[in-house]
Parts: sequence; structure tokens; C-alpha cells
Amino acid sequence: MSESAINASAGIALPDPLREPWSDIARQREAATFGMWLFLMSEMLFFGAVFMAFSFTRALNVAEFQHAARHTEIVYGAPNTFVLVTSSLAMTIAVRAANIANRRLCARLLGATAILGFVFLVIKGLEYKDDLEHHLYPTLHFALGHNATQIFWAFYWIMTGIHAFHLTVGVGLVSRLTWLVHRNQLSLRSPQLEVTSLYWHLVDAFWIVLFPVLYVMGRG
Amino acid sequence: MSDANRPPPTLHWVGPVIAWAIIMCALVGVVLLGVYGSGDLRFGGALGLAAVMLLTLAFGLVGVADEPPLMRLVAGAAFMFLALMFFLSFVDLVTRIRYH
Repeated sequence: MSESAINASAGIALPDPLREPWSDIARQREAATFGMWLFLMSEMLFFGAVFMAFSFTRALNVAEFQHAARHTEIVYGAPNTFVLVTSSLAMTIAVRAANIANRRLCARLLGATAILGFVFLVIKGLEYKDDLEHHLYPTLHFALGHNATQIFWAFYWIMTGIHAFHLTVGVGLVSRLTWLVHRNQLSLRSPQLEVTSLYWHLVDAFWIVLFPVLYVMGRG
Repeated sequence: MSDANRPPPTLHWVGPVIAWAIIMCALVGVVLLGVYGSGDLRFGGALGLAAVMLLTLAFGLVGVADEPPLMRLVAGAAFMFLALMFFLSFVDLVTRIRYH
């Protein structure tokens, strides 16, 4: 039995996911997904520029960047990668659960995604606290001394900070979806699920690149 | 066939779980490189494993291959920028070798 039939028999009236100017939900979904891909492309350009600046600066200050990178904590970075990739798995299966009209499973997996995203932010916060305590931020009291090591740590704070901001937005979006799906206030055919899922995967993809660049490669 | 007689739709979860497992294996590889690797092996290995993780994410979890052609084109262009980023990292490596 379809979701609409189940809801109709239960007397639940879900808001219609179809919006102006679309004539059917398939076209609306295609347009929303296309719009999100264009947004993701602009985000990739933005992050790409930061990565390129990092690469060029590193090429000019190899020894200093290696010295600075040895002070990053892989014991925070690796578990965070595990947490974020697992959240992407939960998000993917949540969308698939929505496609087969399994509302309960979809809500639970969306909730798991939001919680894992929050766990990532908590671990990141603990790492930031350690970094601050060790004076690993570019100021007069910087712990490592040499100017070029400060550039590495400036990149570290900028790149991980921008990523954490994106993830915070993602946690907010997924939490909202979890609430709406749980409370039966969002149709499982709504393009919001797929579009939010794409955004979440983008945030995951950026971290997958950030982790080896900041925590592993610099140690060579 | 009426709704009542139709078999319940199946949740296809195996593919994403396999993709997740591949990414986890690559993550373990990156961590091992970070702890035990050295020099170019660490640099190239971490870069290669990151590319494996990204591609697995794109095809296994995002499902880029199942998207309509227009979306695949846009996704391809987006990932081209990522490839460009990796290319520039490679240029960085070559530059460092020349410095030494």
C-alpha cells in the first residue's frame, strides 16, 4: 500500500510537496536536485581555491609545514572521519527508506545522521580545546615559533572552521527533517530529503580530503 | 495486482554498506600511512586513498551513476574541479622534488 493510501486510511493529511511552477513531483525533484548540484559545484570551487592556496604555500615552506603538521592530532581526525562516513551511510539508507515509504526507518536514520553529525562537532570541539591549550593558533604566543608554521595553522583553522560551519548547517537541516518526518508533517516524496542528502554528502566529501591533507600528508 | 497483494518494497541497503566498508578500509590505510609511512609513500598513498574514498562516496553512497544524464554532467564537472585540486597537489610534489 502506498504512503498516501496509508495516510488517507489513517485520516492523516500530509502537506502536498508539489510547489509552483511545477506540474508534477518528478519534474520538481529533478529541478531541485539540479539546483543543488549547481550549488555544490560553487562550493567545490570555493573549497578548491582554499586547497590550492594551501598546496602552493606548502610547496614554498615544506619543512615548516611538516613540522607544523606533526602537531595535529590524528587521534581526533581518524574517529571523526569514521563518524562522518557512517553518518553518510545512514543518510543514504534514510533516503532509500523514504523511497519505499518506510517512514519510521527514515525518521530513525535521519535522527542517527543528525546525532553522528553532532558527535563529529563535539569531537572537533575537544580537538580545538586541545589546540588552544597548546597555543596552536597564529598569534604572538604561537607555540611553534617560525612564521611559516603559523601559516599551516592558519589554514588548519580556516579549513576546519569552514567545514564545521557547513556541518552545523547540515545538522540543523537534518534535525528539522527528522522532526518533520517523525511528526508526519513531510511527505516522503518531498525533494527536500534528496537535496539535503546531497548537501550532507558534500560536507562528508570535503572532510575526506581535509583529513589526509591536514593530518597525514604533512607528516612526510 | 491490487495493493493488498503486492509484495512490500525491499530496502536496498547492501550496496551502500559495501561502499561504507570500502571507505573504512581506505581510512585504515590512510591512518597506517600517517603512523608508519614516510616521505613519498605517505604523500602519494594518502592522496590515492583519498581519491578512492571520494569515488566510493560518489558512486556508492551518493549514487552518481543512477542520476539523469544532465545531473551526471554537472556532477562530472564538479568532480573535475576536485581532480584539478589533486593535480595541483601532484604539481606541488613535483615542485618539492625539484627543490631538493
